[in-house]
Amino acid sequence: MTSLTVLLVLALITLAIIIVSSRDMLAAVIFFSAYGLVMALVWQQLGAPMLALAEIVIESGIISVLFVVAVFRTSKDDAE
Amino acid sequence: MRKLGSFLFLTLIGLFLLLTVLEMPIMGDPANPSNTVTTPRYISEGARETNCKNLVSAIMLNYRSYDTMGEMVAIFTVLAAALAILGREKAKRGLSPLKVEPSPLIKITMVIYIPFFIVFACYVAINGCYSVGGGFQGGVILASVIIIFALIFGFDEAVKKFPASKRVFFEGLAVLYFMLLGLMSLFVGGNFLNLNLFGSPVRKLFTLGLEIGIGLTSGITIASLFYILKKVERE
Repeated sequence: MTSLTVLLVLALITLAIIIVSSRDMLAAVIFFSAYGLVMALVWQQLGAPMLALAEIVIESGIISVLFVVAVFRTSKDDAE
Repeated sequence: MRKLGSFLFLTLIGLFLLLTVLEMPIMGDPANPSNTVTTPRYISEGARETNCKNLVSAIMLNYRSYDTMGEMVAIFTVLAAALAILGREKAKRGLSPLKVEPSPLIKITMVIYIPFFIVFACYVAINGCYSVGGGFQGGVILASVIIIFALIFGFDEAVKKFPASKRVFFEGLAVLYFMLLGLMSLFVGGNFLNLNLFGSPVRKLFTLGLEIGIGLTSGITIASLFYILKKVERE
């Protein structure tokens, strides 16, 4: 458990609180993507590079895109 | 009163769950059943028995290939459910131009980058046995290439390049391919998905084939999900 890991975990907790308390859906999705990146770094620190790669690709990349599409689809303000 | 009742109920459930957690083996204890029964065998014999340097891939594709097949079926079910509820985009439809034309800089950059993305995806999928990565990650990277293309050149262009008729073929093939590959081991007298009886070179080929099957399933599922969602957005 290095100091970097502690820092990353603190960042994760902060990001999670931001995501849950955010009123703006789009902001929440973008913070969720950032959460995925930090989580991938944590996996790498814990010695699981394969999981880190999957985390970056899926959570930060694909899930964010799908969520953005879903947000634009469901919220009235953005759908014109 | 109802609030108090629900609060008490939730507290009770929480206490029950916490008690259950206390009964579980302590994480990281060397005397845990998970650390004494199968894991030592995987670590000491896995690399030799499976010819895979990446132990995660070795376990996933050999010892746990049934589980992997179950995952593929689960992913396929997700795709089938999304298709059943939301449906495909219509084939005959007037092209709707993009609301904002992307700058030529982005387009040309992507035209140069996309081949490298595809090569990287194939590298990650094929080298799953020897380095970080695997079929799942490679397939998802490949799907992200399709999504990037659709975001920059427009959804209609993406539909033209990768129409629904082609997607149906790959979606159907994805799980079927995995199962057919598993059936191959019946011909040499083994059980379903048991690749132990093949010689080393054939076995390597089969492992590669399974990786490609996983990549195909995950990639086509995510790409199709994106198409389905975008189609709903346009209506």
